[in-house]
Amino acid sequence: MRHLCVAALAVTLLFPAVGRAGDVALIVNPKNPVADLTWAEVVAIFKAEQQHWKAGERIYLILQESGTPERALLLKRVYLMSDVELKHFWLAKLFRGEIAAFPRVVASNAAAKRIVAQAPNALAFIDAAAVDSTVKALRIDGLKAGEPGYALAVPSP
Amino acid sequence: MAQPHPPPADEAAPEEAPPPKLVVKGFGNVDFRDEFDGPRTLEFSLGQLDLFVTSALTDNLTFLAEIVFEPGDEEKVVDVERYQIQYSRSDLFNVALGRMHTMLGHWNHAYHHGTWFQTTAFRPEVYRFEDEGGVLPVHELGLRMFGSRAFGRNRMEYSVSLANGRGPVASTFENFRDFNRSKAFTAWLALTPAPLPGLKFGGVVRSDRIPPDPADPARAVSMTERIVGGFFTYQRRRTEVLGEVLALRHREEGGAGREFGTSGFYVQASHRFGRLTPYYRFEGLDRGADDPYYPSSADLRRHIAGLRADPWSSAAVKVELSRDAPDPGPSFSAATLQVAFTF
Repeated sequence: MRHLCVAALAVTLLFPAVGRAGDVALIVNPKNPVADLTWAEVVAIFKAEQQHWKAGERIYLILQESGTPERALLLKRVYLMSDVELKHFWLAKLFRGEIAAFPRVVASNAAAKRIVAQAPNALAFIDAAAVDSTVKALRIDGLKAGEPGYALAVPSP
Repeated sequence: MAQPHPPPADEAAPEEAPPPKLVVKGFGNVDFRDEFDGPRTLEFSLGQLDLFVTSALTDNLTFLAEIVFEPGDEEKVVDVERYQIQYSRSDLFNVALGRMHTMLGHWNHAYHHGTWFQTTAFRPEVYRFEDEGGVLPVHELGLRMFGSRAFGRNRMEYSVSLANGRGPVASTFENFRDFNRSKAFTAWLALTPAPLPGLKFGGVVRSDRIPPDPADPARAVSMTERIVGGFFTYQRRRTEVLGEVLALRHREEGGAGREFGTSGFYVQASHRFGRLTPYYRFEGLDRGADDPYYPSSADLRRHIAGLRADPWSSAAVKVELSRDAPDPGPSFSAATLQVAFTF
């Protein structure tokens, strides 16, 4: 029994927020004090309406490139746009002076994790199954990826 | 607002921040227009070629410029339309310094020279540029503080600015001086209520003091200018409804203290079906009778119906029919084909 408890603790420490494969987890640097966002905050951050963490640091937003299932889920749930519409959305933001550069786009969950692990202010989204101890997965409205009612859960087949 | 300098994805974090990146985008359009009756024209014309550059100098400091090439105008080919440096402290507190688009409502800062962004081929008459006979100060040179804040799921945006006032002639914009010590003050506020997704509404007030024009006996005294406006936008994925109304009042100082009122409005609606977006706009402009600040006092009512096609992600084709009813003057209709693009 003791060995089982130790093993369970080790798994929890090594894989603190593993969710259901296909669910999308929002990840930040482990040093980031933020642990939970409301859905309204998630939408505001990914639409660049909120560009600073509550502590004042600027949010460094990382998106995944077109064609990834994680981006597809964000487009459907957060942006309510197609890929082309999202590109136009960022271009309009840039033109209005609301952003000075387009968000960083990466090709994979691994690339997103590498940046988040290095950048204290970064926020990215990855497959929840890819979360490991180098990053911290955020709760959304108090729920972790994999829990019922999680806002970025993959639709049930 | 800036993206902080990121570490490269596949390398260790560098010891020094990388040099600022310059983002360059461009916008342009070419038009073909036929006026059926009245002035009777049939012509091709080049639109403005708009070169937009921006750069995040640091995490909190950004630079933005917009340079417009106006083909065919030999005396004034290149115009620096925006030239601003911006400091961002938080979402609520940002400061910009330089030449900017005046926050008057929605259209002026949302589209301005970026014809490709706007659904229609042309901007509303009330937002015509100063050097094209427009009535509003659509640009300003000064200091602006702006930001936004969420209240629950609702969002508030604000902008207040202190800028050089308008010059003695409405059609000119001075980049290097102000003609009097009084400054133009503009306050703009917008609300996005969560219960009505896609809706934003707000208003603006602006005050200025316009100096006399020594070259024009009718403009022998200074005049105060007050602008009050309101706007709403309803923008969903496929549907867009826009509306603005702006009222402007000039009052001569001293003497008879004459007053002149000018107002303009538009309401525009569109709905996208795939790559096609039919649209309609009704607009009007009532210039103050005998206002000596404007060379023309003609009023206007205009209906526009058009179809925008977006066969490519970076270019749009707009076909537009319009019916103008100026007062005084004969009504006339026109058709416009515009190709607008970004690069």
